[in-house]
Amino acid sequence: MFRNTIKSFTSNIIRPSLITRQLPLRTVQRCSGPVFVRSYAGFPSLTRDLAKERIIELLEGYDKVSTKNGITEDSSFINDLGLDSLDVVEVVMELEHEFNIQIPDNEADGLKTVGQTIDYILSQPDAC
Amino acid sequence: MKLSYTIGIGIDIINITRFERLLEKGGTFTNRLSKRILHPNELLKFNKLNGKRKIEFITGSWASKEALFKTLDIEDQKQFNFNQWYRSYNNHGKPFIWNDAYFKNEEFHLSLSHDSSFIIATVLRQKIYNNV
Repeated sequence: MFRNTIKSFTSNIIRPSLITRQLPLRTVQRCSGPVFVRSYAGFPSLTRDLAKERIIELLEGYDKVSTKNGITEDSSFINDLGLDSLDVVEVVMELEHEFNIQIPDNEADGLKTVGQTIDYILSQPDAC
Repeated sequence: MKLSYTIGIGIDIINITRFERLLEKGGTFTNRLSKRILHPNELLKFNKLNGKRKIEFITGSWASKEALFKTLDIEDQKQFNFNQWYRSYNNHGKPFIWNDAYFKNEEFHLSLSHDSSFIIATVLRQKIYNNV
Protein backbone atom coordinates (compact mmCIF):
# COMPACT_ATOMS: atom_id res chain seq x y z
CA MET A 1 0.00 0.00 0.00
CA PHE A 2 2.82 2.32 0.82
CA ARG A 3 4.27 1.52 -2.57
CA ASN A 4 0.99 2.41 -4.25
CA THR A 5 0.86 5.70 -2.42
CA ILE A 6 4.35 6.52 -3.59
CA LYS A 7 3.45 5.44 -7.10
CA SER A 8 0.35 7.62 -7.36
CA PHE A 9 2.19 10.48 -5.74
CA THR A 10 5.12 10.35 -8.15
CA SER A 11 2.97 9.73 -11.20
CA ASN A 12 1.02 12.87 -10.34
CA ILE A 13 4.23 14.79 -10.21
CA ILE A 14 5.62 13.32 -13.38
CA ARG A 15 2.51 13.57 -15.48
CA PRO A 16 2.46 17.31 -16.14
CA SER A 17 6.01 17.23 -17.48
CA LEU A 18 5.01 14.50 -19.91
CA ILE A 19 2.50 16.79 -21.53
CA THR A 20 4.89 18.48 -23.90
CA ARG A 21 4.07 19.61 -27.39
CA GLN A 22 0.86 17.95 -28.47
CA LEU A 23 -0.45 19.01 -31.83
CA PRO A 24 -4.21 19.21 -32.15
CA LEU A 25 -5.66 15.87 -33.14
CA ARG A 26 -9.14 17.11 -33.83
CA THR A 27 -9.04 16.40 -37.55
CA VAL A 28 -9.86 12.79 -37.15
CA GLN A 29 -13.08 13.54 -35.35
CA ARG A 30 -13.97 16.45 -37.57
CA CYS A 31 -13.55 14.64 -40.87
CA SER A 32 -14.60 11.15 -39.94
CA GLY A 33 -18.39 11.47 -40.08
CA PRO A 34 -20.24 8.88 -42.18
CA VAL A 35 -19.54 9.88 -45.77
CA PHE A 36 -23.00 9.11 -47.06
CA VAL A 37 -24.70 11.54 -44.69
CA ARG A 38 -24.28 15.24 -45.33
CA SER A 39 -24.48 16.47 -41.77
CA TYR A 40 -24.53 20.25 -41.88
CA ALA A 41 -25.22 20.49 -38.18
CA GLY A 42 -22.25 18.35 -37.15
CA PHE A 43 -19.67 19.80 -39.52
CA PRO A 44 -19.73 23.57 -39.83
CA SER A 45 -18.50 24.59 -43.27
CA LEU A 46 -14.93 25.80 -43.40
CA THR A 47 -14.97 29.59 -43.19
CA ARG A 48 -11.95 31.82 -43.56
CA ASP A 49 -12.01 32.65 -39.85
CA LEU A 50 -12.19 29.00 -38.88
CA ALA A 51 -9.32 28.04 -41.19
CA LYS A 52 -7.24 30.93 -39.87
CA GLU A 53 -7.89 29.98 -36.27
CA ARG A 54 -6.92 26.35 -36.89
CA ILE A 55 -3.72 27.25 -38.75
CA ILE A 56 -2.64 29.68 -36.03
CA GLU A 57 -3.41 27.12 -33.34
CA LEU A 58 -1.29 24.56 -35.20
CA LEU A 59 1.60 27.01 -35.58
CA GLU A 60 1.44 27.96 -31.91
CA GLY A 61 2.02 24.29 -31.12
CA TYR A 62 5.59 24.63 -32.41
CA ASP A 63 8.17 25.60 -29.81
CA LYS A 64 10.27 27.01 -32.60
CA VAL A 65 7.63 29.45 -33.89
CA SER A 66 8.42 32.93 -32.76
CA THR A 67 5.15 34.49 -31.58
CA LYS A 68 6.50 37.67 -30.08
CA ASN A 69 4.90 39.77 -32.84
CA GLY A 70 1.80 37.57 -32.97
CA ILE A 71 0.77 35.43 -35.91
CA THR A 72 -1.23 37.31 -38.54
CA GLU A 73 -2.21 36.62 -42.15
CA ASP A 74 0.84 38.59 -43.24
CA SER A 75 3.24 36.47 -41.18
CA SER A 76 5.82 34.78 -43.38
CA PHE A 77 6.72 31.28 -42.20
CA ILE A 78 10.41 31.84 -42.79
CA ASN A 79 10.98 35.57 -42.28
CA ASP A 80 8.55 36.25 -39.40
CA LEU A 81 7.96 32.92 -37.69
CA GLY A 82 11.59 31.78 -37.90
CA LEU A 83 10.95 28.46 -39.64
CA ASP A 84 13.38 26.87 -42.12
CA SER A 85 12.63 24.77 -45.19
CA LEU A 86 12.34 21.50 -43.28
CA ASP A 87 10.03 23.09 -40.69
CA VAL A 88 7.84 24.35 -43.53
CA VAL A 89 7.59 20.82 -44.95
CA GLU A 90 6.55 19.60 -41.49
CA VAL A 91 3.94 22.36 -41.14
CA VAL A 92 2.60 21.66 -44.63
CA MET A 93 2.26 17.98 -43.77
CA GLU A 94 0.47 18.79 -40.52
CA LEU A 95 -1.87 21.06 -42.48
CA GLU A 96 -2.59 18.22 -44.93
CA HIS A 97 -3.56 16.12 -41.95
CA GLU A 98 -5.52 18.88 -40.22
CA PHE A 99 -7.60 19.82 -43.29
CA ASN A 100 -7.66 16.41 -44.97
CA ILE A 101 -6.04 17.67 -48.21
CA GLN A 102 -2.91 17.07 -50.31
CA ILE A 103 -0.43 19.90 -50.86
CA PRO A 104 2.29 18.92 -53.39
CA ASP A 105 5.80 20.41 -52.97
CA ASN A 106 5.50 22.64 -56.01
CA GLU A 107 2.27 24.15 -54.63
CA ALA A 108 3.67 24.32 -51.10
CA ASP A 109 6.61 26.40 -52.35
CA GLY A 110 4.17 29.17 -53.23
CA LEU A 111 2.75 29.30 -49.70
CA LYS A 112 5.00 31.86 -48.06
CA THR A 113 2.58 33.44 -45.59
CA VAL A 114 -0.27 32.38 -43.32
CA GLY A 115 -2.74 34.31 -45.53
CA GLN A 116 -1.60 32.58 -48.75
CA THR A 117 -1.97 29.26 -46.96
CA ILE A 118 -5.53 30.08 -45.87
CA ASP A 119 -6.39 31.01 -49.48
CA TYR A 120 -4.93 27.74 -50.72
CA ILE A 121 -6.82 25.64 -48.18
CA LEU A 122 -10.12 27.39 -48.94
CA SER A 123 -9.56 26.76 -52.66
CA GLN A 124 -9.44 23.00 -52.04
CA PRO A 125 -12.92 21.52 -52.42
CA ASP A 126 -12.12 18.60 -50.11
CA ALA A 127 -10.79 20.71 -47.24
CA CYS A 128 -12.76 20.20 -44.05
CA MET B 1 35.11 15.05 -76.67
CA LYS B 2 32.63 16.02 -73.97
CA LEU B 3 32.89 19.47 -72.51
CA SER B 4 30.86 20.95 -69.66
CA TYR B 5 30.79 24.21 -67.81
CA THR B 6 29.37 25.19 -64.46
CA ILE B 7 26.03 27.00 -64.41
CA GLY B 8 25.04 26.53 -60.77
CA ILE B 9 26.20 25.61 -57.31
CA GLY B 10 24.20 24.77 -54.20
CA ILE B 11 24.94 23.74 -50.62
CA ASP B 12 22.94 22.51 -47.63
CA ILE B 13 23.79 21.56 -44.07
CA ILE B 14 21.50 19.71 -41.68
CA ASN B 15 21.62 18.09 -38.28
CA ILE B 16 20.54 14.44 -38.28
CA THR B 17 18.59 15.10 -35.07
CA ARG B 18 16.05 17.01 -37.16
CA PHE B 19 14.98 13.85 -38.96
CA GLU B 20 15.41 11.77 -35.83
CA ARG B 21 12.63 13.84 -34.26
CA LEU B 22 10.43 13.79 -37.38
CA LEU B 23 10.67 10.02 -37.73
CA GLU B 24 9.66 9.65 -34.09
CA LYS B 25 6.36 11.43 -34.69
CA GLY B 26 4.77 8.11 -35.52
CA GLY B 27 1.30 7.53 -36.92
CA THR B 28 1.19 7.99 -40.68
CA PHE B 29 3.71 10.82 -40.50
CA THR B 30 6.88 8.80 -41.19
CA ASN B 31 5.25 7.12 -44.14
CA ARG B 32 3.97 10.39 -45.59
CA LEU B 33 7.29 12.17 -44.98
CA SER B 34 9.38 9.47 -46.65
CA LYS B 35 7.06 9.37 -49.67
CA ARG B 36 7.22 13.13 -49.93
CA ILE B 37 11.01 13.40 -49.83
CA LEU B 38 12.29 10.16 -51.34
CA HIS B 39 12.11 8.99 -54.96
CA PRO B 40 10.42 5.55 -55.32
CA ASN B 41 13.91 3.98 -55.88
CA GLU B 42 15.20 5.59 -52.70
CA LEU B 43 12.07 4.58 -50.83
CA LEU B 44 12.78 0.91 -51.53
CA LYS B 45 16.19 1.26 -49.93
CA PHE B 46 14.91 3.40 -47.05
CA ASN B 47 12.30 0.82 -46.12
CA LYS B 48 15.00 -1.86 -45.84
CA LEU B 49 17.20 0.20 -43.52
CA ASN B 50 16.95 0.42 -39.75
CA GLY B 51 18.05 2.61 -36.89
CA LYS B 52 20.71 5.25 -37.45
CA ARG B 53 21.36 4.27 -41.10
CA LYS B 54 17.71 4.91 -41.90
CA ILE B 55 17.83 8.39 -40.39
CA GLU B 56 21.15 9.19 -42.11
CA PHE B 57 19.77 8.02 -45.43
CA ILE B 58 16.77 10.34 -45.46
CA THR B 59 18.80 13.22 -44.01
CA GLY B 60 21.40 12.77 -46.78
CA SER B 61 18.67 12.69 -49.39
CA TRP B 62 17.09 15.87 -48.01
CA ALA B 63 20.43 17.73 -47.90
CA SER B 64 21.27 16.63 -51.47
CA LYS B 65 17.94 17.81 -52.81
CA GLU B 66 18.04 21.12 -50.93
CA ALA B 67 21.51 21.73 -52.39
CA LEU B 68 20.26 20.71 -55.82
CA PHE B 69 17.24 23.04 -55.55
CA LYS B 70 19.57 26.00 -55.11
CA THR B 71 21.28 25.24 -58.44
CA LEU B 72 18.04 25.27 -60.43
CA ASP B 73 16.56 28.10 -62.50
CA ILE B 74 13.51 29.82 -60.99
CA GLU B 75 11.15 28.11 -63.45
CA ASP B 76 12.49 24.68 -62.52
CA GLN B 77 12.33 25.55 -58.82
CA LYS B 78 8.60 26.20 -59.26
CA GLN B 79 8.19 22.68 -60.69
CA PHE B 80 10.34 21.11 -58.00
CA ASN B 81 9.15 18.02 -56.16
CA PHE B 82 11.55 16.28 -53.80
CA ASN B 83 10.42 12.80 -54.77
CA GLN B 84 11.19 13.24 -58.48
CA TRP B 85 14.93 13.44 -57.83
CA TYR B 86 17.19 10.57 -56.84
CA ARG B 87 20.81 10.04 -55.95
CA SER B 88 22.93 7.60 -57.92
CA TYR B 89 26.57 6.78 -58.83
CA ASN B 90 28.36 7.00 -62.18
CA ASN B 91 30.78 4.41 -63.65
CA HIS B 92 33.57 5.82 -61.52
CA GLY B 93 31.52 5.57 -58.33
CA LYS B 94 31.01 9.34 -58.12
CA PRO B 95 27.63 10.40 -56.79
CA PHE B 96 25.23 12.50 -58.83
CA ILE B 97 21.61 13.48 -58.60
CA TRP B 98 19.01 13.26 -61.35
CA ASN B 99 15.35 13.54 -62.28
CA ASP B 100 14.02 11.43 -65.18
CA ALA B 101 11.64 14.23 -66.15
CA TYR B 102 14.44 16.82 -66.49
CA PHE B 103 15.34 17.08 -70.16
CA LYS B 104 18.12 19.66 -70.27
CA ASN B 105 21.53 18.42 -71.36
CA GLU B 106 23.07 18.94 -67.95
CA GLU B 107 24.59 17.01 -65.07
CA PHE B 108 24.43 17.49 -61.30
CA HIS B 109 27.52 16.38 -59.39
CA LEU B 110 26.95 15.64 -55.74
CA SER B 111 29.33 15.61 -52.80
CA LEU B 112 28.32 14.75 -49.24
CA SER B 113 30.22 14.88 -45.97
CA HIS B 114 29.39 13.94 -42.36
CA ASP B 115 30.74 15.00 -39.01
CA SER B 116 29.11 13.80 -35.79
CA SER B 117 25.44 14.61 -36.33
CA PHE B 118 25.90 17.01 -39.25
CA ILE B 119 25.54 16.22 -42.93
CA ILE B 120 26.57 18.69 -45.61
CA ALA B 121 25.81 18.38 -49.32
CA THR B 122 27.11 20.31 -52.32
CA VAL B 123 25.73 20.10 -55.83
CA LEU B 124 27.48 21.40 -58.94
CA ARG B 125 25.25 21.93 -61.95
CA GLN B 126 26.95 21.66 -65.33
CA LYS B 127 25.82 22.19 -68.90
CA ILE B 128 27.14 19.51 -71.24
CA TYR B 129 28.40 19.94 -74.79
CA ASN B 130 28.92 16.63 -76.58
CA ASN B 131 31.23 16.18 -79.60
CA VAL B 132 33.14 19.39 -79.10
